[in-house]
Amino acid sequence: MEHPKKNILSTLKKSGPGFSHPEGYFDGLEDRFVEGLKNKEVQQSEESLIQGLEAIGKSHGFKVPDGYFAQDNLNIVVPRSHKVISLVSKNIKKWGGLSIAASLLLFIGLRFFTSDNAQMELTELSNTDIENWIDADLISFSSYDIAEAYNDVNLENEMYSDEEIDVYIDNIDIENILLEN
Amino acid sequence: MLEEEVLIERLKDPLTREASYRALISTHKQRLYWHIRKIVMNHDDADDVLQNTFIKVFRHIDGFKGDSKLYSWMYRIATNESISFLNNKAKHSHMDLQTLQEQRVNNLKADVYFDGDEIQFKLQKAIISLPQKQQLVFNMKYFDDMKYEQMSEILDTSVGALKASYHHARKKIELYLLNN
Repeated sequence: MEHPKKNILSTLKKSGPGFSHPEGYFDGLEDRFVEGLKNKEVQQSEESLIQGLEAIGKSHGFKVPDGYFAQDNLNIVVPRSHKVISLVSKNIKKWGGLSIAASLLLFIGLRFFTSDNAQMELTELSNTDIENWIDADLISFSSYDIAEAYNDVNLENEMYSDEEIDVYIDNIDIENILLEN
Repeated sequence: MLEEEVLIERLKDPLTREASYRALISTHKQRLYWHIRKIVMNHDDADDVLQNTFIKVFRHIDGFKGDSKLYSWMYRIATNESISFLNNKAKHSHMDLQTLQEQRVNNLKADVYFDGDEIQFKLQKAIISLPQKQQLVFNMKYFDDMKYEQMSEILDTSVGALKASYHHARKKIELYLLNN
Protein backbone atom coordinates (compact mmCIF):
# COMPACT_ATOMS: atom_id res chain seq x y z
CA MET A 1 0.00 0.00 0.00
CA GLU A 2 1.48 3.34 -1.04
CA HIS A 3 1.16 6.29 1.31
CA PRO A 4 1.45 9.87 0.07
CA LYS A 5 4.72 11.34 1.28
CA LYS A 6 3.13 14.65 2.26
CA ASN A 7 1.12 14.64 5.51
CA ILE A 8 2.12 11.07 5.82
CA LEU A 9 1.64 11.04 9.59
CA SER A 10 -1.97 12.14 9.27
CA THR A 11 -2.62 9.24 6.93
CA LEU A 12 -0.68 6.72 9.03
CA LYS A 13 -2.47 7.60 12.24
CA LYS A 14 -5.56 5.68 11.12
CA SER A 15 -3.56 2.50 10.59
CA GLY A 16 -2.09 2.49 14.08
CA PRO A 17 1.33 1.11 14.98
CA GLY A 18 0.72 -2.27 13.31
CA PHE A 19 1.00 -4.39 16.42
CA SER A 20 -1.36 -7.26 17.21
CA HIS A 21 -1.59 -9.89 19.95
CA PRO A 22 -2.67 -13.53 20.27
CA GLU A 23 -6.40 -14.02 19.90
CA GLY A 24 -8.23 -13.82 23.20
CA TYR A 25 -5.14 -12.51 24.96
CA PHE A 26 -7.11 -10.18 27.20
CA ASP A 27 -9.62 -12.88 28.22
CA GLY A 28 -8.78 -14.36 31.57
CA LEU A 29 -5.83 -12.02 32.06
CA GLU A 30 -7.15 -11.19 35.54
CA ASP A 31 -6.97 -14.83 36.68
CA ARG A 32 -3.45 -15.26 35.35
CA PHE A 33 -2.18 -12.04 36.91
CA VAL A 34 -3.83 -12.72 40.27
CA GLU A 35 -2.24 -16.18 40.24
CA GLY A 36 1.09 -14.60 39.31
CA LEU A 37 0.80 -12.16 42.18
CA LYS A 38 0.07 -14.98 44.66
CA ASN A 39 3.08 -16.94 43.41
CA LYS A 40 5.27 -13.89 43.77
CA GLU A 41 4.02 -13.35 47.31
CA VAL A 42 4.74 -16.99 48.24
CA GLN A 43 8.18 -16.70 46.70
CA GLN A 44 8.81 -13.47 48.57
CA SER A 45 7.64 -14.86 51.89
CA GLU A 46 9.97 -17.85 51.42
CA GLU A 47 12.83 -15.51 50.63
CA SER A 48 12.10 -13.35 53.67
CA LEU A 49 11.89 -16.51 55.82
CA ILE A 50 15.32 -17.59 54.61
CA GLN A 51 16.68 -14.10 55.26
CA GLY A 52 15.12 -14.19 58.72
CA LEU A 53 16.74 -17.54 59.49
CA GLU A 54 20.07 -16.25 58.28
CA ALA A 55 19.73 -13.21 60.52
CA ILE A 56 18.85 -15.45 63.50
CA GLY A 57 21.82 -17.68 62.73
CA LYS A 58 24.17 -14.74 63.04
CA SER A 59 23.05 -13.78 66.57
CA HIS A 60 23.42 -16.29 69.43
CA GLY A 61 20.28 -15.08 71.23
CA PHE A 62 21.82 -15.08 74.73
CA LYS A 63 21.46 -12.05 76.94
CA VAL A 64 23.26 -10.81 80.04
CA PRO A 65 21.84 -8.75 82.90
CA ASP A 66 22.02 -4.99 82.44
CA GLY A 67 25.38 -3.58 83.41
CA TYR A 68 26.92 -7.04 83.66
CA PHE A 69 30.02 -5.96 81.86
CA ALA A 70 30.50 -2.93 84.10
CA GLN A 71 33.84 -3.34 85.87
CA ASP A 72 32.39 -3.35 89.46
CA ASN A 73 30.29 -6.44 88.78
CA LEU A 74 32.94 -8.59 87.21
CA ASN A 75 35.03 -9.29 90.39
CA ILE A 76 38.10 -9.75 88.31
CA VAL A 77 41.34 -8.50 89.84
CA VAL A 78 43.25 -6.60 87.24
CA PRO A 79 46.91 -5.90 88.05
CA ARG A 80 47.58 -2.20 88.39
CA SER A 81 50.57 -2.33 86.17
CA HIS A 82 51.06 -4.97 83.65
CA LYS A 83 53.51 -5.35 80.93
CA VAL A 84 52.10 -5.82 77.49
CA ILE A 85 53.91 -8.69 75.88
CA SER A 86 53.77 -9.00 72.18
CA LEU A 87 52.80 -12.57 71.34
CA VAL A 88 54.17 -12.18 67.89
CA SER A 89 57.67 -11.18 68.94
CA LYS A 90 57.69 -13.85 71.68
CA ASN A 91 56.74 -16.54 69.25
CA ILE A 92 59.26 -15.34 66.74
CA LYS A 93 61.98 -15.55 69.40
CA LYS A 94 60.88 -18.99 70.58
CA TRP A 95 60.38 -20.60 67.20
CA GLY A 96 63.26 -18.70 65.67
CA GLY A 97 65.64 -20.16 68.26
CA LEU A 98 64.26 -23.64 67.76
CA SER A 99 64.52 -23.30 64.01
CA ILE A 100 68.16 -22.29 64.22
CA ALA A 101 68.92 -25.21 66.57
CA ALA A 102 67.10 -27.67 64.30
CA SER A 103 68.93 -26.36 61.26
CA LEU A 104 72.29 -26.78 63.00
CA LEU A 105 71.43 -30.33 64.10
CA LEU A 106 70.29 -31.21 60.60
CA PHE A 107 73.42 -29.74 59.10
CA ILE A 108 75.71 -31.66 61.51
CA GLY A 109 73.68 -34.84 61.11
CA LEU A 110 73.85 -34.70 57.34
CA ARG A 111 77.56 -34.04 57.48
CA PHE A 112 78.01 -36.95 59.90
CA PHE A 113 76.00 -39.57 57.99
CA THR A 114 77.00 -38.57 54.47
CA SER A 115 80.72 -37.98 54.96
CA ASP A 116 83.35 -40.61 53.98
CA ASN A 117 84.30 -40.99 57.61
CA ALA A 118 80.79 -41.95 58.73
CA GLN A 119 81.43 -45.73 58.64
CA MET A 120 84.61 -45.40 60.61
CA GLU A 121 82.99 -43.24 63.26
CA LEU A 122 80.05 -45.66 63.67
CA THR A 123 82.46 -48.49 64.42
CA GLU A 124 83.88 -46.40 67.20
CA LEU A 125 80.56 -46.52 69.08
CA SER A 126 80.61 -48.82 72.06
CA ASN A 127 78.46 -51.95 72.14
CA THR A 128 76.67 -50.62 75.21
CA ASP A 129 75.63 -47.50 73.33
CA ILE A 130 74.27 -49.58 70.48
CA GLU A 131 72.40 -51.92 72.90
CA ASN A 132 70.90 -48.95 74.70
CA TRP A 133 69.89 -47.51 71.41
CA ILE A 134 68.14 -50.73 70.41
CA ASP A 135 66.59 -51.21 73.89
CA ALA A 136 65.21 -47.69 73.72
CA ASP A 137 63.38 -48.87 70.64
CA LEU A 138 65.12 -46.33 68.45
CA ILE A 139 65.59 -49.02 65.89
CA SER A 140 63.55 -52.10 65.16
CA PHE A 141 64.12 -54.81 62.60
CA SER A 142 61.77 -57.62 61.84
CA SER A 143 63.13 -61.12 61.38
CA TYR A 144 62.60 -60.66 57.67
CA ASP A 145 64.75 -57.50 57.65
CA ILE A 146 67.54 -59.40 59.41
CA ALA A 147 67.28 -62.38 57.04
CA GLU A 148 67.41 -59.97 54.12
CA ALA A 149 70.47 -58.19 55.49
CA TYR A 150 72.33 -61.47 56.17
CA ASN A 151 71.17 -63.54 53.22
CA ASP A 152 74.70 -64.88 52.74
CA VAL A 153 74.69 -66.49 56.21
CA ASN A 154 73.14 -69.89 56.76
CA LEU A 155 71.24 -69.19 59.95
CA GLU A 156 69.86 -72.67 60.38
CA ASN A 157 73.25 -74.31 60.56
CA GLU A 158 75.36 -71.71 62.21
CA MET A 159 73.29 -70.12 64.95
CA TYR A 160 71.63 -72.92 66.92
CA SER A 161 71.88 -76.70 66.88
CA ASP A 162 68.74 -78.86 66.92
CA GLU A 163 69.47 -79.89 70.50
CA GLU A 164 69.70 -76.30 71.64
CA ILE A 165 66.37 -75.53 69.99
CA ASP A 166 64.71 -78.54 71.66
CA VAL A 167 65.98 -77.43 75.07
CA TYR A 168 64.73 -73.89 74.39
CA ILE A 169 61.28 -75.17 73.47
CA ASP A 170 61.10 -77.44 76.50
CA ASN A 171 61.92 -74.57 78.85
CA ILE A 172 59.86 -71.94 77.15
CA ASP A 173 57.24 -70.19 79.24
CA ILE A 174 54.32 -69.48 76.94
CA GLU A 175 52.69 -67.05 79.34
CA ASN A 176 55.82 -64.90 79.46
CA ILE A 177 56.02 -64.79 75.68
CA LEU A 178 52.38 -63.77 75.47
CA LEU A 179 52.94 -61.10 78.08
CA GLU A 180 56.03 -59.79 76.35
CA ASN A 181 54.38 -59.63 72.98
CA MET B 1 -12.95 10.46 41.70
CA LEU B 2 -15.09 8.93 44.41
CA GLU B 3 -15.03 5.59 42.63
CA GLU B 4 -11.24 5.75 42.46
CA GLU B 5 -10.99 6.49 46.18
CA VAL B 6 -13.26 3.58 46.99
CA LEU B 7 -11.21 1.29 44.76
CA ILE B 8 -7.98 2.34 46.48
CA GLU B 9 -9.49 1.72 49.92
CA ARG B 10 -10.67 -1.71 48.82
CA LEU B 11 -7.21 -2.52 47.45
CA LYS B 12 -5.78 -1.81 50.87
CA ASP B 13 -8.34 -3.95 52.69
CA PRO B 14 -7.27 -7.65 52.86
CA LEU B 15 -10.91 -8.76 52.60
CA THR B 16 -11.61 -6.96 49.35
CA ARG B 17 -8.22 -6.58 47.80
CA GLU B 18 -8.30 -9.57 45.44
CA ALA B 19 -11.64 -8.59 43.92
CA SER B 20 -10.48 -4.97 43.65
CA TYR B 21 -7.24 -6.08 42.06
CA ARG B 22 -9.21 -7.97 39.43
CA ALA B 23 -11.35 -4.89 38.80
CA LEU B 24 -8.25 -2.73 38.46
CA ILE B 25 -6.75 -5.14 35.89
CA SER B 26 -10.01 -5.32 33.93
CA THR B 27 -10.30 -1.56 33.74
CA HIS B 28 -6.75 -0.72 32.70
CA LYS B 29 -5.29 -3.82 31.04
CA GLN B 30 -5.84 -2.81 27.43
CA ARG B 31 -4.62 0.77 27.52
CA LEU B 32 -1.60 -0.13 29.64
CA TYR B 33 -0.80 -3.09 27.40
CA TRP B 34 -0.72 -0.94 24.27
CA HIS B 35 1.34 1.72 25.99
CA ILE B 36 3.90 -0.89 27.06
CA ARG B 37 3.77 -2.70 23.75
CA LYS B 38 4.75 0.43 21.81
CA ILE B 39 7.84 0.77 24.00
CA VAL B 40 9.05 -2.85 24.16
CA MET B 41 7.57 -3.88 20.75
CA ASN B 42 7.41 -7.62 21.41
CA HIS B 43 4.14 -9.16 22.67
CA ASP B 44 5.66 -11.60 25.17
CA ASP B 45 7.79 -8.88 26.70
CA ALA B 46 4.80 -6.56 26.85
CA ASP B 47 2.88 -9.28 28.68
CA ASP B 48 5.70 -9.68 31.25
CA VAL B 49 6.02 -5.95 31.77
CA LEU B 50 2.26 -5.53 32.10
CA GLN B 51 2.13 -8.20 34.78
CA ASN B 52 5.04 -6.61 36.65
CA THR B 53 3.30 -3.27 36.38
CA PHE B 54 0.16 -4.60 38.06
CA ILE B 55 2.21 -6.34 40.73
CA LYS B 56 4.01 -3.07 41.50
CA VAL B 57 0.74 -1.17 41.57
CA PHE B 58 -0.67 -3.70 44.01
CA ARG B 59 2.37 -3.65 46.27
CA HIS B 60 2.76 0.10 46.35
CA ILE B 61 -0.87 1.10 46.55
CA ASP B 62 -0.31 2.08 50.21
CA GLY B 63 2.20 4.66 49.02
CA PHE B 64 -0.17 6.18 46.49
CA LYS B 65 -0.85 9.66 47.83
CA GLY B 66 -3.57 10.69 45.42
CA ASP B 67 -1.58 13.67 44.09
CA SER B 68 -2.37 12.44 40.61
CA LYS B 69 -5.07 10.20 39.22
CA LEU B 70 -4.63 6.50 39.83
CA TYR B 71 -4.55 5.90 36.11
CA SER B 72 -1.72 8.43 35.61
CA TRP B 73 0.19 6.83 38.46
CA MET B 74 -0.21 3.38 36.89
CA TYR B 75 0.81 4.75 33.52
CA ARG B 76 3.97 6.14 35.08
CA ILE B 77 4.77 2.78 36.66
CA ALA B 78 4.19 1.07 33.30
CA THR B 79 6.49 3.56 31.57
CA ASN B 80 9.25 3.09 34.13
CA GLU B 81 8.88 -0.70 34.03
CA SER B 82 9.11 -0.72 30.22
CA ILE B 83 12.21 1.47 30.12
CA SER B 84 13.86 -0.53 32.93
CA PHE B 85 13.07 -3.69 31.02
CA LEU B 86 14.77 -2.39 27.88
CA ASN B 87 17.77 -1.10 29.82
CA ASN B 88 18.21 -4.49 31.50
CA LYS B 89 17.94 -6.27 28.17
CA ALA B 90 20.56 -3.95 26.69
CA LYS B 91 22.84 -4.47 29.67
CA HIS B 92 22.58 -8.26 29.48
CA SER B 93 23.21 -8.17 25.73
CA HIS B 94 26.20 -5.84 26.18
CA MET B 95 24.79 -3.25 23.81
CA ASP B 96 23.48 0.29 24.14
CA LEU B 97 19.76 1.04 24.23
CA GLN B 98 19.70 2.47 20.72
CA THR B 99 21.25 -0.70 19.23
CA LEU B 100 18.83 -2.88 21.17
CA GLN B 101 15.84 -0.91 19.91
CA GLU B 102 17.09 -1.12 16.32
CA GLN B 103 17.42 -4.86 16.74
CA ARG B 104 13.89 -5.07 18.10
CA VAL B 105 12.43 -3.07 15.24
CA ASN B 106 14.23 -5.26 12.70
CA ASN B 107 12.77 -8.33 14.43
CA LEU B 108 9.27 -6.99 13.71
CA LYS B 109 9.51 -8.22 10.12
CA ALA B 110 9.53 -11.79 11.36
CA ASP B 111 7.09 -11.17 14.23
CA VAL B 112 3.73 -12.90 13.76
CA TYR B 113 2.15 -10.23 15.95
CA PHE B 114 3.21 -7.34 13.75
CA ASP B 115 0.72 -6.77 10.96
CA GLY B 116 2.11 -3.48 9.77
CA ASP B 117 3.09 -2.79 6.19
CA GLU B 118 6.37 -1.32 4.99
CA ILE B 119 5.47 2.27 5.88
CA GLN B 120 4.33 1.27 9.38
CA PHE B 121 7.62 -0.59 9.80
CA LYS B 122 9.47 2.56 8.71
CA LEU B 123 7.43 4.60 11.17
CA GLN B 124 8.65 2.33 13.98
CA LYS B 125 12.23 2.80 12.75
CA ALA B 126 11.69 6.57 12.72
CA ILE B 127 10.31 6.53 16.29
CA ILE B 128 13.31 4.71 17.72
CA SER B 129 15.64 7.21 16.07
CA LEU B 130 14.26 9.82 18.50
CA PRO B 131 15.60 10.47 22.00
CA GLN B 132 13.86 8.29 24.63
CA LYS B 133 11.63 11.03 26.04
CA GLN B 134 10.51 12.15 22.58
CA GLN B 135 9.65 8.55 21.72
CA LEU B 136 7.34 8.42 24.73
CA VAL B 137 5.76 11.78 24.00
CA PHE B 138 5.21 10.92 20.35
CA ASN B 139 3.63 7.52 21.11
CA MET B 140 1.33 8.91 23.79
CA LYS B 141 0.16 11.84 21.73
CA TYR B 142 0.15 10.45 18.21
CA PHE B 143 -1.29 6.98 18.82
CA ASP B 144 -3.16 7.40 22.13
CA ASP B 145 -4.36 11.00 21.76
CA MET B 146 -3.49 11.61 25.35
CA LYS B 147 -4.03 15.09 26.73
CA TYR B 148 -0.92 17.10 27.52
CA GLU B 149 -2.13 17.60 31.10
CA GLN B 150 -2.22 13.87 31.71
CA MET B 151 1.11 13.37 29.95
CA SER B 152 2.50 16.06 32.24
CA GLU B 153 1.42 14.03 35.29
CA ILE B 154 2.88 10.82 33.92
CA LEU B 155 6.18 12.14 32.63
CA ASP B 156 6.60 14.84 35.26
CA THR B 157 7.24 17.44 32.57
CA SER B 158 5.55 20.78 31.92
CA VAL B 159 2.81 21.01 29.30
CA GLY B 160 4.83 23.56 27.33
CA ALA B 161 7.89 21.31 27.21
CA LEU B 162 5.73 18.39 26.11
CA LYS B 163 4.17 20.40 23.30
CA ALA B 164 7.61 21.44 22.07
CA SER B 165 8.86 17.90 22.40
CA TYR B 166 5.98 16.50 20.37
CA HIS B 167 6.41 19.17 17.70
CA HIS B 168 10.12 18.30 17.30
CA ALA B 169 9.40 14.57 17.31
CA ARG B 170 6.78 14.91 14.61
CA LYS B 171 9.06 17.01 12.37
CA LYS B 172 11.92 14.54 12.74
CA ILE B 173 9.70 11.59 11.91
CA GLU B 174 8.25 13.28 8.85
CA LEU B 175 11.76 14.06 7.68
CA TYR B 176 12.87 10.49 8.32
CA LEU B 177 9.94 9.08 6.37
CA LEU B 178 10.52 11.46 3.46
CA ASN B 179 14.19 10.52 3.25
CA ASN B 180 13.82 6.77 3.66
